[in-house]
Amino acid sequence: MILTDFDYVRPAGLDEALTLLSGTRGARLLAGGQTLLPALRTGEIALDPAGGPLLVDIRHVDELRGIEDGPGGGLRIGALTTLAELAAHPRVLAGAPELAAAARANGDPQVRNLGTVGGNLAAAGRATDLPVAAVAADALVELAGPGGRSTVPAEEFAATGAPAGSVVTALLAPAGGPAAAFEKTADRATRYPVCATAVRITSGGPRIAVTGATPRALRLRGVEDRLGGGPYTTDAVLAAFRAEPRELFVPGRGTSAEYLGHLAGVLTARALARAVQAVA
Amino acid sequence: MTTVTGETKEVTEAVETTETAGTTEAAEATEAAEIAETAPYGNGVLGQPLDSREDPQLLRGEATYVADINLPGTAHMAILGSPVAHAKILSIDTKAAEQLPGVLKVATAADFTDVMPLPCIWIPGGVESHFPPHPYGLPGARPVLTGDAVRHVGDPIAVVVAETPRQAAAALAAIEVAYEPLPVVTLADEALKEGAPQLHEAVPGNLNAYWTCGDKDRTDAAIAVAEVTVELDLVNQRTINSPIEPRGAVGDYNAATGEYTLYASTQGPHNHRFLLSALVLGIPFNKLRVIAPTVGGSFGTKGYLYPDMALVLLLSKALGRPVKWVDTRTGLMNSTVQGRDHRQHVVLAGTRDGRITAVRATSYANLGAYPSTIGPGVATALMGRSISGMYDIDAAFCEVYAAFTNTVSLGAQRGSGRAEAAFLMERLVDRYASEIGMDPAAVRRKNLVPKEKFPYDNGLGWTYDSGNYQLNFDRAMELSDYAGMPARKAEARARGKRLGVGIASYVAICGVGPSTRMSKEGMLGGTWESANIRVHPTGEVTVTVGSASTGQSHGTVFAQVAADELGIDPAQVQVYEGDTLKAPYGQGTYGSRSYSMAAPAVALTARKLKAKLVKAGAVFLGVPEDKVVYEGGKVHEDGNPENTKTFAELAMAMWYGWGLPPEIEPALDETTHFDPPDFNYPFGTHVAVVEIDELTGETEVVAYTAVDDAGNIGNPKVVLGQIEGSIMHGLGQALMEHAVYDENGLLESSDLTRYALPRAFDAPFFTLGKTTTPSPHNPLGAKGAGEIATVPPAAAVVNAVVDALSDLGVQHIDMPVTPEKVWRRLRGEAQ
Repeated sequence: MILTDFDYVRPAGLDEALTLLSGTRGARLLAGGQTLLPALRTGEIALDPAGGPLLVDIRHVDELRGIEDGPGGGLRIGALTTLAELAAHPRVLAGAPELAAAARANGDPQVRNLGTVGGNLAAAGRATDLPVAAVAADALVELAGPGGRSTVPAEEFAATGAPAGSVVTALLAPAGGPAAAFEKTADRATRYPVCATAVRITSGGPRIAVTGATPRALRLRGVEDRLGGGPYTTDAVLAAFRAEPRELFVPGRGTSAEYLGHLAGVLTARALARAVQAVA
Repeated sequence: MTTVTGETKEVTEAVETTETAGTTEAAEATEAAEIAETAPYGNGVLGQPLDSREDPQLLRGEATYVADINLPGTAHMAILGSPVAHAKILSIDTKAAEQLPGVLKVATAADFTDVMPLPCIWIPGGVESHFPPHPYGLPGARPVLTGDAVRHVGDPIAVVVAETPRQAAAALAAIEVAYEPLPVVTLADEALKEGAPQLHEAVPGNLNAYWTCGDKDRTDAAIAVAEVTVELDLVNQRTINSPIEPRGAVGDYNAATGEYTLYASTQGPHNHRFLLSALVLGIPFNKLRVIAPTVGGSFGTKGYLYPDMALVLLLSKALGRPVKWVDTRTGLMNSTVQGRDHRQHVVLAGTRDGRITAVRATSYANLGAYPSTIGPGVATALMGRSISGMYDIDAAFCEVYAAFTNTVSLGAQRGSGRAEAAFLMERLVDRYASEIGMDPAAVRRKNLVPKEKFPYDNGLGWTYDSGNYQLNFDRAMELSDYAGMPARKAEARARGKRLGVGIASYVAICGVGPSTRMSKEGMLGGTWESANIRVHPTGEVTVTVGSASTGQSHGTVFAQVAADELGIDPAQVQVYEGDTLKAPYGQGTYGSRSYSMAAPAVALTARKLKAKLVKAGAVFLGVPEDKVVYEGGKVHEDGNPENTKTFAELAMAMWYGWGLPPEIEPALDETTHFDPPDFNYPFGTHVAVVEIDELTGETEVVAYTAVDDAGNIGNPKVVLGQIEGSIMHGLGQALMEHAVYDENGLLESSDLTRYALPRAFDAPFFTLGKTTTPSPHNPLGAKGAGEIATVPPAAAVVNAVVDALSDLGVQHIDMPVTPEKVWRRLRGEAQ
């Protein structure tokens, strides 16, 4: 495929980037490029005579980098943090292992060296691994837009995506701990999740999120309620999943909804077992 | 031509070894030592695991592929492929496209009425067959552009040449084609049914040929009286050849000389030259030069004639500029020949105590919309004659219905025909073993062709040259720890995994081939091979061969052959190939033939040179010829090593030619054309161990043992790389690869996000061993190696999966073995 023609601009900072995004037809953010560049090659993003695409390259915007202390003893993970950095960061590994594991599950080392936290969250759909972990972690997505800064719960962000003209600036992960895990079955061709689950065990019970088997990363509160304080045996987890409405799960490429619903249960059971083990 | 038989070398007495593998490295070390002992005059360079000299430039991205060739003034071609699988073309309007910026030419079939269709040159041998027409009465394949109808998605309808690739691609969208849709058929057996959509006027009922081999009556009789019979319906699914480099072509017509040059990703430049000049373009042979630059893999796809090759030449002439075309991945998937695609009903008969008495296969082979250059031969002979594998079976019969459908043309895919044959036989053997309650290894061991029966006529048309199947089989059982599997199964079960073990043995005909024999097999052309060696005045050596590497390290290995024979340093030897202006005639690289066809030509040429140097040495040393000893790249007087001439001294003396008697020509420049007396038959036994996740149905290949016998090996490092790659290729078919056409003939899996290929991390731990049974049919004792290990893995893996599920009553599972398929079987659902 031939790369679509595009215009390119490299704003000096976030404010200029926001101005360009809201003021230019067909403007799109370029960070790691791992979602954008394939779309430009397949024609999914095509040249528009009325304007665009304009690639607004924010890779050098330093204020979007770094992992630092966040609100409430948690972590503030800058949007330009690469997946490789996230996967290997000691504080993430200790306090939000589900995020580190999800970051590590993306693509291959080259993809992880380029792909960013912000891009992975914003791409959402069924193709990326981070959103489901962010949902289980009960993280907040920090956005900058024409109206200023805001935060959105990761689950809501997974449903709505970034509002037009806005930029993901950080992922805010609450103070967690080791009692969390991520599990994934990857598509043979794309390595996108056929199904991925992330869990975190809290004093109030487990948080369980699923993607791949569902159209986007979702908290499964029904399953959480059924499982309560445990024990999280495989049989119990599979039974809790079977009690979910059938239409929750949607068929994937070459996989039935029935199988995906089952797979989500199996992966969740495994994740819960790992999370329990992590604090045992 | 030189025909070599077994007497030229003591190959039949040479080593048949077992060696310790355990790891790849151990196997390499042992191999090198063994081959060195068998080298006849050599300095031991042959058989050494030398690093491939081609690799650094490939790994650093420095090689020149077709896409890297940018001649001054190049214009760029794009091809309009059909968006529908079957339709009449009512009209084509190119006016709007012609007006677009940068567009130089838009052409359709109407522009090329004097161009002949591409021919098909390997037809089902010995039977009536039906093809689209060709003006010379040859079997035709397809026109360079279709004008009357489209017969598969991607069928080329029109081309645009423009200043840039982007302009050419953009203009395609402006070509308006009106279609009258026709019904679509994508499966071979469906295409043969009454009332099926018809593809070609000249091919009634879409049947290219009904082809058989073996003894039908004897086989039917044996099956009728057998104590036990087992049957399977198998789908050997269509797969997409996926070399890392898609195809490309650059045409360059020189108006001053009337000469055409084609740069193309080809594995057979001489063949392409002949077919294009004589049978498509109708131009003199000596006006076409074909150059293969570095070719980024082929796996059986780049020996074919494709429309683009003719089109870039024709358009270069029309426009007076070089014309370049480079395919995309999706383009490749809708145009380049695809593999496998047989639907079969197979039967095996035997005794209650495990003696196989008969095998019968009925196969529906899907040739695609048009015959590819050699597809019909691949789908019939290579498959049918190979079905009995390593076994001594009294009665065997195979029938193939080769049919046209609305899909991309079928061609070879690494292991072609033989892999499909091994799959059906090895699945049957396991099914039979299960039916009579015998261990599948014991059934196989009991039926192997005995060592003393070679040469062995398999009753289907092949005469196996040499082998020690028992040794090979036992080695595989030992290396794989087959005896330890029950304990491993129990251990895995405790972890929630079902462990299964699957064996697959095979014989893979290679070394195509004896030209006369191939003519009876339906090959419309010669299949010999050639080499030239020139010794330069300074003692350096250039080897040119008619073969053409697509990644097989010819430059390394052929240098080893020449250096070993001549007793010189391989660093002194340069190897050239791939340019018809420079290389001696040859048929190209396919069917794992280069080391058993081209390398023997190199060795025989070196021997001619040596014989000449002995004669000339007598003159230069001043002694009778029988006193001249050629050793270590020098000649010396027997008994007087002081009286000697080095290789370089001899080279210079022969360049000057001073003092040579009339019967010795000056210079050192020899050529050999090698046509073997028969094929060669590498073989082997593979053992796959899989673990199936009880809950998810996921299958992981956790261990893989391969013991292959490719005769004498020239460079074990190169061959081991080919074997590992081959196994991965086979695992791909077993577990993930599948070209899926929907009911409208649209290829759903038309890019690499939808067509899964195995990755490095899918590789199991390999245990590679070998046995060595030299072939008597060439002076190196070589057998094919490049593709042989692709033949058994699909069968080994499916056998292992079925073994893991056998207590659930599972008798077969179709490829690719996906997690959901296995999960459904785990739940007790039928296939």
